[in-house]
Amino acid sequence: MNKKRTTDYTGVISREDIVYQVIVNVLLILLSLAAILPFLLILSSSLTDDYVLTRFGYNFFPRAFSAYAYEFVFSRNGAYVLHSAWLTLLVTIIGTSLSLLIAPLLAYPLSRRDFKYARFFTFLVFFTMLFNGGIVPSYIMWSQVFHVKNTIWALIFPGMLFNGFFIILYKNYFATNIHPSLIEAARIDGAGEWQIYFRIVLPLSLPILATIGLMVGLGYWNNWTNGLYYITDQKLFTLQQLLKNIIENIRALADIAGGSFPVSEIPSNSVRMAMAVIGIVPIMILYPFFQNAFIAGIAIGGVKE
Amino acid sequence: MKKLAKTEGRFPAYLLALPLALASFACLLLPFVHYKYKAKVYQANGSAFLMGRDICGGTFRLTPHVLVWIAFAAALLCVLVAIFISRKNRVLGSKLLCAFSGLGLVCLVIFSASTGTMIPAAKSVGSSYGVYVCILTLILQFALALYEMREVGLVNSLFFMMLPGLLYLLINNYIPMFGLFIAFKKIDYTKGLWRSDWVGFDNFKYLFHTKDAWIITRNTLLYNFAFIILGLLTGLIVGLALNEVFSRKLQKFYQTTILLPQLISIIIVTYIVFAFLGNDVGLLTTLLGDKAQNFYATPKYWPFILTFVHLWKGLGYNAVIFLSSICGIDKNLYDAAKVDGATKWQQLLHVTLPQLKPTIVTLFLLQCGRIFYSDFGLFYEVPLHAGALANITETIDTYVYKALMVSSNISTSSAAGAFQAVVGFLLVVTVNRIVKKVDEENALF
Repeated sequence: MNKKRTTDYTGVISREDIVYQVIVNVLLILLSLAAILPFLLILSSSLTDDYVLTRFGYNFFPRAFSAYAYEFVFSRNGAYVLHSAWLTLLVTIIGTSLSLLIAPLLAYPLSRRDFKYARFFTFLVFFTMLFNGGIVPSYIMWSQVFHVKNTIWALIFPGMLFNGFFIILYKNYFATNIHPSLIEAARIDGAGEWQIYFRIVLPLSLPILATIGLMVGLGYWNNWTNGLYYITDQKLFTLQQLLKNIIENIRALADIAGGSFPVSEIPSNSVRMAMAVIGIVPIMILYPFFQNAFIAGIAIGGVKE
Repeated sequence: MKKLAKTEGRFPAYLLALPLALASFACLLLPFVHYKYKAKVYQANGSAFLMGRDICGGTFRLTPHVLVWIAFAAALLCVLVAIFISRKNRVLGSKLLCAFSGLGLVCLVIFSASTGTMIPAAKSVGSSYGVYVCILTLILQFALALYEMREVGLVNSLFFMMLPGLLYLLINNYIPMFGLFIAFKKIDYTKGLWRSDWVGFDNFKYLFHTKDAWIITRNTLLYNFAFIILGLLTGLIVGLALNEVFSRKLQKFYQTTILLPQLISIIIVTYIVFAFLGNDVGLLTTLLGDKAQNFYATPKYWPFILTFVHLWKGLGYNAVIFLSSICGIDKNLYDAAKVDGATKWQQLLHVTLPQLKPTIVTLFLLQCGRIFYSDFGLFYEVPLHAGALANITETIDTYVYKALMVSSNISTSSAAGAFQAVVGFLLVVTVNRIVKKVDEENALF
């Protein structure tokens, strides 16, 4: 986003500029705090003794430090939590790879001016952005015709692979960044269409692949509705679905351990927050590495709000 | 530049389709359906459906399934005709081959998917292996037809590249569109989807006679109006503020931080809201002390809570969009304003805002086009679907979900879903017309 500045500070810095800087920075510092503090609340609460939490509630500062919640989760449910994190990662990787394989392949011909069906198929893609059948018909189709219930495919296919908007974004990128003369030159050298696509078009399109790939990957990692609709088998709970069940009822933790311990034994207040931390940490660790692609994705409108 | 390639001397793929077509016919002798009738299990082969005499002792009636079967058999015959035409005219022949093998395939898939309700007099009806063998031969014929179309130059590799993506769109987007007919039926699971009775607009009448329809429409619209206006306003302010920051490193830092909430799932947001408002333990609840009440049982706060949460999560998103739009403003305009002695405030009022007007208008209209849709997670999960809050947090999306999955009331659910789909579509089209008038470039289509 650091392209051009609209404000020019090369001249003399006036009093007015200084006042503006102070106002703007104070505002943004406050907003940044508003964005970060809730996460700190979760973190510090997860590290507070459960009895103290029950008595005094959640707080930004641990009154009595204790890592018992994590010990509890990892000793009783560790294998299960890791299993569901692994499953989420697997679904994310498979889904994103499939998406990156199939979606640009659909978009590329649409970007070619010499492809005579381009207009018709672009409309077909575009129409899916305007109108949809809603959740009831798709739920019935995926569960009764394709029988995806309680299979890993339920987490990968329904509504997740790509949407019409991504195709349009790919198409526009190809149309503006891959010059027709490049394709023509490759053809004269004897390259076929598939060769042109994989050897020339794809390597030149890495920025858009990274941006949309990130959006799709984040979508898979954060997705919980497919689990809500299609998964009842505990072995196929993703991290988000597990987290959802636990916030609704702490009993879910006892259930997944086979009900081998009574619910009253769970230090529920701190364990809840510890689970939230487990859900947040992976994405926070990776954020610095993908932040540029993420911001670029928002700027082109690729992130759903 | 596309000319039909010379067909002579090219491999006549259509000849391979002949044995396959004959194999499809042979499949009619294999068992297509198995069913239980008077405590005995029977098999019916593929050709039995025309007469129906030996099915259930002749009690089989002409149903839509038989029409599908007839269409399938007719398509098989037409494939043979197409192969013969190919000998004289390969271009036309390949088109026909493609069309009819595709038609046959679709008919047979519908046939096999609906066997469960096919024979009313029998019990536990299901498809037998003959259907699947026949589907396989038809898939091969369809593939051959595509290959043949490529050989004669009707389609090229570009077409084949699109196939997997188009298949996904067909399944994921187009088939459910046709599934909207469910809203006009009274679904009875014992009869199945196809045989359930048509009831016209009864489901809609029922939906709109309840108070629910009014409540969910009102909630969806009001929340969305608040979200759109406040979201654009805060986004605009923060975008302007970000642009003013002198240090680039700081600008980057603020931007990255404010975007954090955009990154996490609504489930994590639920945890965060719970950490603040949870009964007895939430930070805000304990701070309020004796005055505190159970937030999850007090509806009056939730419009504000949900709006706040939505703004908190979406702030970075709108800010980044406005920032990138501000970066696109011509710098010369500011220089000219400065020469004229404009203060920063005047520059904002007379340069930045007028330049941003198209962005603001377009974003506003586009979001209005989606005003019938709501963030399911925000309204369902964040209030922890507490019953006491239902009136104030129920939107069309949560209503459809609950009717479908919790109370198994497909009729109401599909009616509400169809209402949303159709009104949503009309809104998008209308809004696009307005955008086109305001700002041609930003129109969707």
